[in-house]
Formats: sequence, C-alpha cells, structure tokens
Amino acid sequence: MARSYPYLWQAVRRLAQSVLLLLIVLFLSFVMLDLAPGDMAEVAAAESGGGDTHYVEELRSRYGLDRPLYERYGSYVVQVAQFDLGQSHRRNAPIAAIIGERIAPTGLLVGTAITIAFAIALVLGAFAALRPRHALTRIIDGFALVANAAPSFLVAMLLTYAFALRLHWLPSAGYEMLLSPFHGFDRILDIGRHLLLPAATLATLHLGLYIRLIRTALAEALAQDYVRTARAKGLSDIHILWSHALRNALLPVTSIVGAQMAGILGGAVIVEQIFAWPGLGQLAFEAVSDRDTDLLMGLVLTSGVAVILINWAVDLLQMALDPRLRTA
Amino acid sequence: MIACSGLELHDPSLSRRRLMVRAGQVAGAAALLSGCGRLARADAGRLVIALGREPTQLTSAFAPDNSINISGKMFDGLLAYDFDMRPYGQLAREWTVAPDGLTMAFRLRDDVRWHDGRPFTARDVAFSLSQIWKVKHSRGRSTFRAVDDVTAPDPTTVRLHLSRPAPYILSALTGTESQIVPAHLYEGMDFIGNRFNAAPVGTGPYRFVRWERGAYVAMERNPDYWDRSHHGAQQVIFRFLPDAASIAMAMEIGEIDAVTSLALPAVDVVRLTSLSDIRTDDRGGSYSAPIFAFEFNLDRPIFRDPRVRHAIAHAIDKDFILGKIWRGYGRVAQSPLSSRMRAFHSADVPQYPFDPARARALLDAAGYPVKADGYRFSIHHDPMVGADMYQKSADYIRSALADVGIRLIVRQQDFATFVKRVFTDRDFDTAGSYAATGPDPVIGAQRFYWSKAFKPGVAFANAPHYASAAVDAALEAGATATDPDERRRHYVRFQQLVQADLPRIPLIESYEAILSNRRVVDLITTADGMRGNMAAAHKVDR
Repeated sequence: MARSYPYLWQAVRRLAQSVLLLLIVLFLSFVMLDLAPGDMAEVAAAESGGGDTHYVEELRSRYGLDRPLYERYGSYVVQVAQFDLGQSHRRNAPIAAIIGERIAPTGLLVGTAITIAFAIALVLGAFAALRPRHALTRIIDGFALVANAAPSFLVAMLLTYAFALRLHWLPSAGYEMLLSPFHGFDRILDIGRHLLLPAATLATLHLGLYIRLIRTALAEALAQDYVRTARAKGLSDIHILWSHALRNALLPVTSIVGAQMAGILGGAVIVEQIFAWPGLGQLAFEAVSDRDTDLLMGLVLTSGVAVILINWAVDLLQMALDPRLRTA
Repeated sequence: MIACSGLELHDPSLSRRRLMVRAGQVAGAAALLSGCGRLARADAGRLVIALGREPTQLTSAFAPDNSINISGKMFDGLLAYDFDMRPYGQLAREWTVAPDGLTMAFRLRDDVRWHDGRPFTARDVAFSLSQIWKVKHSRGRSTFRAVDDVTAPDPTTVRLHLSRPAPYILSALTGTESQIVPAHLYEGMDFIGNRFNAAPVGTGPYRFVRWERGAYVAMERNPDYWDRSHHGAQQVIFRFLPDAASIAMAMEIGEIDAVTSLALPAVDVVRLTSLSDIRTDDRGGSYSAPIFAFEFNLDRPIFRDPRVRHAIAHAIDKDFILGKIWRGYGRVAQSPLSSRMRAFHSADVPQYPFDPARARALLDAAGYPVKADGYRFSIHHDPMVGADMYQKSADYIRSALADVGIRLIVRQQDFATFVKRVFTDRDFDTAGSYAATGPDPVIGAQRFYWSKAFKPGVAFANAPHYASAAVDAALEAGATATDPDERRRHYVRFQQLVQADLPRIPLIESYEAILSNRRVVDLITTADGMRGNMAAAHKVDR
C-alpha cells in the first residue's frame, strides 16, 4: 500500500506524529500556565475591587480551580478527546464559540499579509537575482534590511499616521464599520479597507526575509546548467525565470514559510492589539491576563492544529512541486 | 459627496476638498454612495467612546469590574450623586432614614419599565439586594451586611431593616455599584451564568443592541425612558482599543468621541488636550475619589520603625510626581481620604513635606548609616499594574530614594502576578496602590487601614498589615454613627492617627479627566463621571 499510494501513506504518518506532538504541547502549556503566578479567581476578584476571602474561594470552586493539577489535566484531555473545548467560566460562553468567531479575522489578516509579502518579495527578489549589479537592486537590499529590522509597532504607527491621520484614506483600527450597514460586496469592501493597514504591517515584518530568500534561491537556480542550456536555446529572461528557475527556487522558500507559520501567528498578536483586530491574538493576550486557562488551552490547541495543518499542506505542495520528494 | 461625511465617522467639518479626496479614495465609492444619507444621520446621533479593555460581561450586579464603564448606561440606580456627592433620586423618588438609623425606606417611581416592557417594581429591588448584592457582589457583601431584611409592602415601596446603622449604604446606590436586575429574568436561575449578563435588560436611558466581541458594544436610546427632559444620543457605542497609542490616534482623527485619561499615557493626554477640538472634564471623580499611594509591608522588621516610614515620605517629592508624571491631573494627597470627599476629608493632619536632609537624619537616627556601597539598605518595590503613570512614578521614587541612600529595586510583572505577590503571598517590601477611597470611607478607604480587613488572598485590602486599636475604634464608630457631624469627627481622628503612623503614604489624589470632542455635550453630569448613565450626552453640530 505504501508503494502504491505514497502521498497518502506519508500524510497518515505525518498526522499520527502531529497528534502526539499536540498532546505534548497541550501538557506543557497546561503546566506552564499553572506555574504562572495568580489564578483566574484572584484576577477576577481583584478586578472587582477585592471582596473578601470567601468571595475568592467561591469563585475558585466555581471555576473548578480547587482541584489538583493532574485531575484538571486529565479531565481536560478526556473532554478534548470528545471534541469539546469546554466552557470559559470568566466569559460565560462555550470556548469553541468564543474561538470560532475569531478564526476568520485572524485567517484573513495572516493570509492577506503573507500573500502581500510573498507577491512583493517575488517581484523584488526576482529583479535582484536577475540584475545583481543594478542600482535598484541596492535599494531593494536596503529596503529588505530595514523591513526586517523595523519593529511592528513602529511600522504600524507610521502607516496609521500617514494613511489614517494625515490622508484620511483608511480607518486607523477595527475590523469593519461600527454597526456596519453593509452586506455582500459592500461589506467586503469595508472590511478590506480596515484590513489594509494591519495586513501591510504584518507583511512588512516578513517581507525582508522573503525578499532575501527568493533572491538567494533564484540566484542559485539561475546559475544551474539547465538555465545555461535554456539561454543557449535563445529563451527570454522572463520565460527562463517563470518556467525553469522559479519552480526550483520556490522549494526552499515554501518550506521556510511553512516552518515560520507559528511565528507569523505570534506576530499577529501584536498587530491585532495595535489595530484592535478581533482575532485570535487579541483573545490570547486577554486569556493570559485573565489567567483563563481553559480558554488559553483552547487557543493553544487551535493554533497548534492550524500550524500542523499548514505544515502538512506545505509538505503536500512540495511533493507536487518536486517529484523527488514523493518517494523519499 | 458632503452627505457622505458620516461614512467614516470623521468630523464632518473637514474641508470639502479633503472630503472629495477621501471619497475618491474609497474603492468603489459609487457602490457605497447609496447608503450615505442614513449614515450621515447615524454619525451625528452616535457617540463613540473608547475603552482599553473589553469586559467579560455587561452587568455589574455581581462585580464592579470593568463592566461598570458600560453597564450604567443600561441600568439606572436607586440614587445618583451630583459632583459634590449630594444624592438625588433616580429610580427612587424619595427616601427616608429612621432617627435610630435602623430602617431605610425608598419610594420608587411608578412609571419605569424594563427594556422588555415589564414594569419595574419594589420586588426587583428587594430581589437584587437580598439575592445578589448581599450574597454575590464582591463589595456588596460588606456594604449590605447590616441589612437583616428587605421588604416590598407595595410595588413602589422598599424597606431595609438593619441590625445596626449603616449610613454609608446611601452612598452606594448608583446603577453600577448596586445594580438592580429584573427579577423576572433572574429569579430562580444561576445568576452568574445567566445569558442576560451579556445582553442586559435594564431600566436605563440606553437599550442594549449588539455586542460584537473584540470590537464594540452598541446601545440605542431607550424611547420609553422615564425622564423625558433629556435628549441623549441616538446611539452610544463603546469601542475596545487595547493599544493606548491607537486610542490617541483614533481620538485625534475623530473616530472616537471620548475616552478617559486613565487609558492614555500622560504625554498623550497633554498632546491631545492641546488640540483645538478636544476638551477635558475632570469633575466626575468624587464618587470613587482614588488615591495613588506607596505601601509598606509592616511585617518587614525594617518598616516597623516609624522613622523609616517618615523618612521615605520626606524623600518623595509629591509635587514632582503630580506635575511631571500625572501632568497636573490631580492634587497632592494630604490625607488618606481624598479632598473630593468633602464630608470627611481633613488637611489638618501630619504632613511630610519634601525634605531629603530630614529624611537622611531620620534614617541615621533609626540606625541605618550609609554603608560602603553607598546605600543604607536595599528594598524591593512592586508598582501597581495597569497605567503608564504607576511605573513612571516607581522609577521616580527609585531615584528619589537613592538620593537619601536607599536602594529601591523596582520589579515588573503583569496584573495577576502583582495581585498574587502582594496580596496572597505577601512577598513584597513596598508596593504601589491605586484605589478608590470613596464614595464613603466604609466602602473605600477603610479596607486599607482596618485591622480586620487584613486577609491574605484578598486584593486591595490591608496590604501593609496595619493594626491599631485606636484606628479600628475610630473606623467602627464612624461606620455606625448616624449624625453626619459625629461621623466627620471620627474620620478626622482616623486621618490624624494614620497620617502619624503612616502605614502607607498617600501621594496623589488622581483626577480622571474625560477627553472628549468639543461637539459632545453633557457627557458627564454625576460624581461617578463616565460610569454615570449619560442620559443627556449627545453631539451638536458646530
């Protein structure tokens, strides 16, 4: 079977490894959160101005925090195995629902940012690889360096200052208009206008790296024998780039982008805070401040699954790009 | 094009040229134009207020957490308080207290309906007090402890029967501190898990419309509101902007109409107030009357010597903190009760003016000479967590104390860690505190000084572990005295005693300034400022 369906066999093996990995990640997060000082009951009571000792104890037993760690972890795993993420006591709502409504905004933000970064990097990287001595290439190099080094809050502030405060072209924060009256295409346009600044900020964080990756990989591919053969045949630069070099050059780039996925989700936490983007990152930040363990576990699980799925998809993509990987 | 001014919630007084540019930039402007007229009106009648943190529920009946910033618009209280803390009736028409202080009677309005159309009656009040405030509410449990029984003899009468006089109850009856919930939606159910906590049905001037999680809570004017003399905004929206720099930016652009200064770094407050279309209002602080203080852990032997505490008080220049860090939004604190609590505050108490030489002399006398490393001793400090000013003040105090030979090591942590360290583990030497001293000393300041309020595990209680029989006696007498003058005498004595002992140094009476667009009028009208019901708040065209 392994011989006749190499794709499938690989996929299944990967999935099994992933489940094990997820269990380990879950356990570590659970222990680390338990080690963090303060629990949800203490935070809730303190935010309510203190109360008395009984108040904290009542909250603690209501939140189920009066049970030992192993017992809480055990019942949590049993619950998750039944595809139930449980209830957030602090927010009084099912965790699956709380997380569910945040997935689309984060997916949109991260997806758009990567697409923007990748598209720009492809153009700039290809130019730099083709014309290494051109004056523009120096500028591209410099830009890549700056983009790589600039902190997200600074990029965000500059973009907002220019496009929201000075030019009034775009809103400074939020996901869509308050009490949005829009539907269908109008609503997409409205969300798109809100999306531009955060997506551009997040894209900038990764742009520098992508430019350099694509440039190096393309330069290497362009030095190969088959490119010289293509040139000898009299093919144009664009044709060589598109049909011969790019396919090989993209292999290492896709694997790095895939491996970076967790980092991109991490970067989204800050960007979502700055732009009040109602995504998973903002939720995670609040869950940590509230010490809302169950919600945070749900988030760890969700992002863990997302990272695994994306890596899985990248593997499949690479197998499609490179026939050699299918038998490996 | 002009009709589109509401499109982006910007100030419509922008120039026509800029509007043209902006409209031109909106991709597919033609597609958007169709709904413009409606939007322009929505903008004019819409009040957008920024909040740094999203609450986890919208009712404050069990807990005065950050839900109080929103909840009071949807729930009226029995009473409201003017800027000088004089009570006036909201849901109660009038109230009487028996001469012995053991019975309180409230006559309620008979023309108030819940947002679902059901009449508001005495039963709702009796239910909320006996089933929620007295048993579930973090502060209400002590505020209403003296209430033995609540009766509702008829739909417009509520009587409280007390085991001992509790005059402070009359200061605790706002719509957020003691929130009346509809008995018909809460009775016989799990209070804390009730679905109406996230979609409230109240009595206030605004009705709940929508809670877009992670983004905003929207309310609309209640057409059946009993007080027809007010014309509030058509919509009130609380927007959640977790990043302080983004709040400042949104305020400057005009995407939001108002925000509390506490959500912003002081430099941004100063910068924004210098803009011509933004004004500030700091009248609404007498209800909570917060004080920023420096607390000693008296379980540490070094702080048992009052000379050390006095020395540290003399080493700190409070005017510097007020001017440079608080940027003038407040007053130097003279006593543990804010001067905004006029009925109780006294400035005739021991003061500790800035005097480093005197501080050094006191430390020498206490037996802490400067050692070879240049310091007398080394202590840790845990600044209060939540606002930019707390950390900056701690940084200043570190350098001020270094000047008199004390090394202060400032620790940084998140809120949960701070609470656990200071109040549960008591693993601290000195700590920052920012907490209400009002509306009545029993509800506010008492817990920091009363020996019976020392309870490890309870946040914002007696963190110093201060215990003084004389102070306890003054506090307990003040809590149950029925005559206002007699109450004042007890609290003046309390202030003199604790300022001499100085278990904590009151530093700054913080004034919460409300920054708002000049088009916004009547935003705050009560002692609890932004927590008030905003019944009259609206925008005018200028």
